Amino acid sequence: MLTLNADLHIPAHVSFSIVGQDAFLLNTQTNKYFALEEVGARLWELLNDGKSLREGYQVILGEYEIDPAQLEQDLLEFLNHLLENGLVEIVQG
Amino acid sequence: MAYYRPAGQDFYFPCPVPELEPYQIIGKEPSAAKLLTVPSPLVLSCRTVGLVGGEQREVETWSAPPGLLLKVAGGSDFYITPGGQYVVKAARDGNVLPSPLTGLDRDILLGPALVLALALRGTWSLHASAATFKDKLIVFLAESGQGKSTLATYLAGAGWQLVADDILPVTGDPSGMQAWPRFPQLKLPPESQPGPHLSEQLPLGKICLLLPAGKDDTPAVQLIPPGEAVKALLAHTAGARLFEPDLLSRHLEFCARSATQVPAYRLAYPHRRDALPIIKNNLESLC
Repeated sequence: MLTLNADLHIPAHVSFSIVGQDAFLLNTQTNKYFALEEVGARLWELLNDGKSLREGYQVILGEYEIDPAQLEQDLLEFLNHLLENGLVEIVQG
Repeated sequence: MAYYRPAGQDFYFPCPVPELEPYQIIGKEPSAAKLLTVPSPLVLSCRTVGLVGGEQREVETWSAPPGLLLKVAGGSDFYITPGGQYVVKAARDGNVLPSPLTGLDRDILLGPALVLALALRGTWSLHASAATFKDKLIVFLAESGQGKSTLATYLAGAGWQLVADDILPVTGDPSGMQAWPRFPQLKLPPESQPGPHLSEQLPLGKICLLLPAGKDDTPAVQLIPPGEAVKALLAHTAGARLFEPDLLSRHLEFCARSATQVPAYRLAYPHRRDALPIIKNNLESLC
């Protein structure tokens, strides 16, 4: 089960561009685009900057007025969606 | 071998293509030595279905390092060299064929083959209409049947200069988007082609995304955030389903950069004749 302690990385087959508050992701293995808005795009930016998932969670918690438990649930749900679409991978070990 | 310069890029084709005649360059011949055979082995890159020659056909791109092979059901195969400069008809045994083009071959060459060859050189083909007013170029993006052609035709009859009515090749540079309108518009007859009368390169001033509106609604133009413009550019680039991963990545980068450089608008477009003068006034106020 995915938790905030998971070690995630962005695989080489994913291209992306940040535009304003949005992020546009491209899985070049499936040729599918994904658009992330605001909080999702911010987390993506933080992961790309080398932050861990937990660090990203803490940064977002400081930037938005949001219930911590709700944010954790929303982020994990969002990351499961990214995992299912091959946009992030869990680093094993 | 025939030599042309559509969309500001030099191309060599297997034999003359009448639709490209206005862009023909006389007296420049390529070295033919490297065009004798298509490299092998081939690896399938993309398979899709698209409208070519008036019919939905299966279209495939095959990686044939260092170039690409394009196969369209019912037509000839075309090999595109790595830089996209040569587009040649290829036989199944890999030999390059100098034989004349059939009607379908011409549609393949002027459609997916040319679009792919341009993309390999960083020129993206927007499925769009476009027109200028006071030297300001506006490109109109919309799904098929949403009125791109109707709007461009109306504007052309009301003091604007028609620039494109199907495909508009564009590039990106640090100063913004550039349009390359000297390109055949296959929906228009030869005498109505705008390209031969236009500059080779025009700065692109605005992007306008046409969206359907209720028949009784008032036309309205509204600035949209760059994120929406990225989606529109991604969705309205011709041939993108044939792009290999590296090309897709470069295309995404282009769309993202362009969307931050060029203002984009949403145009709510009711399909009734009396809406067109109002739209024209709205668009002119943007120029």
